[in-house]
Amino acid sequence: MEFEIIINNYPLKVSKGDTILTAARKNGIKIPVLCNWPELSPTGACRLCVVEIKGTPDLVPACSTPVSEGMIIQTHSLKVIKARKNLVSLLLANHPEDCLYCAQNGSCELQDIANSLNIRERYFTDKYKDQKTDRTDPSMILDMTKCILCGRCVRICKEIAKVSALEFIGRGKNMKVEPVFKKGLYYSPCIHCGKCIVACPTAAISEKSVLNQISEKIDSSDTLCSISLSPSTIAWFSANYNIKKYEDTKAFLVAALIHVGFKTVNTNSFGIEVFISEETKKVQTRLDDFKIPYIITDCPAAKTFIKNHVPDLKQFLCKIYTPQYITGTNIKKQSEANTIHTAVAPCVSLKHAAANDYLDSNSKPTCDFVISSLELDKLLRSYGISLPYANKEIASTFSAYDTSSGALFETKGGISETILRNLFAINNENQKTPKKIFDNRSDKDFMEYEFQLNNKTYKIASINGTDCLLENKEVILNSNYLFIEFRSCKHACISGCGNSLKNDFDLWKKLKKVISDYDDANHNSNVSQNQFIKGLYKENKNEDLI
Amino acid sequence: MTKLKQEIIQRLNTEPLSDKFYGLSKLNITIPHIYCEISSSSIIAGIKDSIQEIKKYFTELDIEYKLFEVSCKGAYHYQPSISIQMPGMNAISFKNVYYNEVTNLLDSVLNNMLPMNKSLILAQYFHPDLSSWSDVPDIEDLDFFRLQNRKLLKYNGIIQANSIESYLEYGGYRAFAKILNKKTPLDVCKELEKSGLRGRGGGGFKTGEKWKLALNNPSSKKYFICNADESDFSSKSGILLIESNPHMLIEGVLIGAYAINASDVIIYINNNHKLAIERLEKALEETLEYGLCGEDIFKSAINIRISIHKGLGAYVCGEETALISSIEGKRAIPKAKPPYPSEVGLFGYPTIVNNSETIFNSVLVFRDGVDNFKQSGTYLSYGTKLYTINGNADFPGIIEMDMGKTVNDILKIVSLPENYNSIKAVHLGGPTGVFIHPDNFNNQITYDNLSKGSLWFGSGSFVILNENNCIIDITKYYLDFLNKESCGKCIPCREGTQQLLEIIKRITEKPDSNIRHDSLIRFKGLLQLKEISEVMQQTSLCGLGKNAPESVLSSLEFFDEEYEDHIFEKNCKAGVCTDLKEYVIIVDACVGCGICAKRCPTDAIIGCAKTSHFIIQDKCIKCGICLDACKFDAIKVN
Repeated sequence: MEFEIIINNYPLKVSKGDTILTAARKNGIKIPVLCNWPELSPTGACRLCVVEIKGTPDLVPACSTPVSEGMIIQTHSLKVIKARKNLVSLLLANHPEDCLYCAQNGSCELQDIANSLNIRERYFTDKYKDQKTDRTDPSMILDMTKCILCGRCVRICKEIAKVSALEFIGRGKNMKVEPVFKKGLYYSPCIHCGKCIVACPTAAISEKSVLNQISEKIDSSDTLCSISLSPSTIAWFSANYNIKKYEDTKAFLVAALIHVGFKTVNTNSFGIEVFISEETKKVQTRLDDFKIPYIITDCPAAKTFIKNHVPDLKQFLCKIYTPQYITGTNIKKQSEANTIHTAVAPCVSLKHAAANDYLDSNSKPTCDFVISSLELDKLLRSYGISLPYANKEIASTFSAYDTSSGALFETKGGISETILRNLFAINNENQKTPKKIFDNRSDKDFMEYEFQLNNKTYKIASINGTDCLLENKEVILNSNYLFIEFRSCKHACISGCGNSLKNDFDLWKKLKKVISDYDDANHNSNVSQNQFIKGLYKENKNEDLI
Repeated sequence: MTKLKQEIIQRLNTEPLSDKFYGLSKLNITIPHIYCEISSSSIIAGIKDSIQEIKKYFTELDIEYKLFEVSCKGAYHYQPSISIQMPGMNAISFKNVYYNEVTNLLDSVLNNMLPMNKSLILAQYFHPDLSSWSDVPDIEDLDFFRLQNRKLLKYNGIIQANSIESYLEYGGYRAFAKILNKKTPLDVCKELEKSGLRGRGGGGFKTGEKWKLALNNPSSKKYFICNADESDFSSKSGILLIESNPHMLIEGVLIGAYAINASDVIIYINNNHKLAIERLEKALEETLEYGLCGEDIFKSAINIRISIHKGLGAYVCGEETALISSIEGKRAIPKAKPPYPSEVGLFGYPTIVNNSETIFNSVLVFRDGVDNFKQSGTYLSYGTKLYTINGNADFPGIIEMDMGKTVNDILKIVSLPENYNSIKAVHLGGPTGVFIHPDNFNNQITYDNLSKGSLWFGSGSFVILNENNCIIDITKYYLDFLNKESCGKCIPCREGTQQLLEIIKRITEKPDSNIRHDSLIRFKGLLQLKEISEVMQQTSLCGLGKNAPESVLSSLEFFDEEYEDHIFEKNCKAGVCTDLKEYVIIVDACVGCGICAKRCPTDAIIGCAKTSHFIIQDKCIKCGICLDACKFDAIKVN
């Protein structure tokens, strides 16, 4: 049902059930928010979205008030702006003033709002919160002095990640957000999916940065530096610097990084493709008997989630290492002892995984450093480099034979698509394998596909998001899937917190397009076409590579 | 069991109530009856010791007697209070019967004589067929009771809280039985709507309308919640009602649950109110035994289960959505409305949350009839309201007044005429209430707080402040409470109360000599108070934040000269804000006797014998002992 309301003196058609905020957004009116988050139900905690409605004495929060017929709304009247200004001033009263040194400087929502409201002095004063920075975790830092208690992280962890690692503690002025049991994030049930980093409007939750150490290592004469780029990082650079072709971006990046001082530059596609061929072997053995579920995931967060939060599914989980680990070990094997390897990853969970591999094995780390795409961008900028770069170069041996499977793998449904391509190629050696197994993929969180192989019909499932796994647990246990693809994020690796600090649907779409264009144009789209990996298998007499 | 139920149905439907009411005075008693008022206030006053003494007295003399535990009259200044009826005599009530008075009192009363200590005598319950005590006033004639309109408190001091029989004797459960037999839920809602009863918790929403909303909801499961949290430290009227008449609350929730077709009732009560919980639990057991609640009540195929939820006490639980989250086992944090609890409430089902006093009033509506209920109170605010009298009152306690009475009407009851002039202000409505200036003492207290001049009762707490109270200090106290009790969810309430508190604290603190424009900074704070208050009122999520600045604003409006005194003169007239004082020794007057130095608890006074002494201001805690100790008037206060 549609009816008319008046916002800022303009009549607008709105549909019933919309809140004032959504109605305003649809019509291009920007109302500032700090606690509202598209995937979560409104809580009305920050009160910044208050608007004036004719006939009500108090201001009304736009995020939780539904529109009704004949409403006359002012979103930016003087009264509203004054109230917003005072609210932000109150928030800033106990907020640290170290914006210049802050990880979120420039992308901070609080900074943005304070700036747009033209707050130019500290109007109220209060003591800063006395809270220790939580540095227990190898991948994330909780600096709760910067927390504005919007509750996004708590809600996203509870409602979407279904982990509840963070919770509000205390009342009134003593209220704060802390990992459960107050022991620090490392000891909490956190799965390091990084959703809270994306949600946090300030730098209260941020990833641990190792950029300064990397710069030192690059300069030092004792060590050789190598770096591996995740395909989604390459896509990220391609989208952000408006370079049309994935291959071009890759070549530019390789050249730029060699200029910076890295001795070898690889892509993580190698690890991914080994992962795919190993998993294809596993799936091949299941073709006759697939009663027991088999969950394939490369995502460390997804693995931790199943291990710690859904223990009944633990036995069905694939046992293979992450692609990043595979790439890392191979680089370390083949290069000199003093090599320092840096991996660029789209997500904080890989940072945590790299640190954890090291802690578990008690040996030398496979990846000495893991940085995110955003950090790599910062690193390049600190060397005065921006893309497109003057030179192009080809990545070193591992990555010279990359197929587009490696890049496609990191998109939604990528695991199943790439594994099935390989499976088809292995089983129908004489026939030409179709380029794409599933042409029109839907965008739902839970997807089910059927396909024919050797005149037999198989089913696979693709699950995106931890909440989706919990919802469909019974389905997994009861239906016979050849295998199940599972990732902790709804938009797969390209939406990781290392790629953007906002819920940037447009960016994800761009990244997806870059990768799918690359896949469409490339005739080398199947792992079985990777001559380098074929060679490796020959060397090892078809034994497992890892 | 079934026989008992049959019996009850019979009794509730047929047994007529005697129309005359003589209080505790009863015919046909043969042995002395002792009635002890037991409530949380009398326990604090020491009634348990007095009871022990009474029991000891009777066992030593080997006299037959009966001892009853009755509810509290609401007059805290009379506690511990006991009443005695000797055979053939009127029941007589005594006040302040501490354990050491018991023996003398009983010695004389058992001999049908008045005690020697006349200050113990309160009043007698007059009965035409019994012989009365000479020179003892009728309880109805005492000003404290006569000037009230005691409807909810009618049986207080008489009814036995821990006995369902006592409640049945005074007309209990008749209203519920009548409704169950003759009225549909819609009738009940309509009748309540007609009575004009409004929520006593503070919101003032029409209860009948609220019930109707829930009744019209087609959901298969609904909840009826009684909010008996009473976490406001200055208002305990709801708890007194539950302590003295738990069965009336149960009757009320039964009516409410029937009216909205709810099968589950939850009574949310603060775990600190031990006596109220104990009595409520006992009452619930009794009602189950009598078949008044539970499955298939009186074969009407209606099931109403009542349970008690003990909360840990948070002021914000007065907000219904916060209370619901608390019952669900989550943090007590208010939710954004809409949806209102009558649509989506406890565990997602439609829920009605009513204050305990509202529920008590709803029983009155159905027991005495709509017209009877509407006789008290004023237009749009019908019925009576309980006030908790605190502060510098001569007669503290809980009183019941018609809606629409003025502050002066209440002061007449609780304050002696000679102290009347020293009253500086009254703080009405608990932490989120307002200060009332004597100029406004003749304004009506009603729901209609929008019309000019009328006052809003809030939680019903009534604090009398006189010259010894500093308005700013009291404001600071309330703000501190609100700051601690704010749930912390929304910015205006969490940060706003904190800022208000900081600014007020700065005004009462010792001036900082290092800052040159100290007074100016304090004055700037004063201007900020209004701005913060405005944003809090306009944008806060729930009532706590919206009403939190009321005390500040009303104190600024009516007592601005006190603020000026504090800021510019650095002077607190009431002498409460000690940080503003400075004790100095006058060099010429000091003879160096050293007495002040010896007496000083913090060793802040130094000096050699027979030379002038000196006070170290950093060490001084402004206790004033030196001022009293000095015989030479050598110490002055700045």
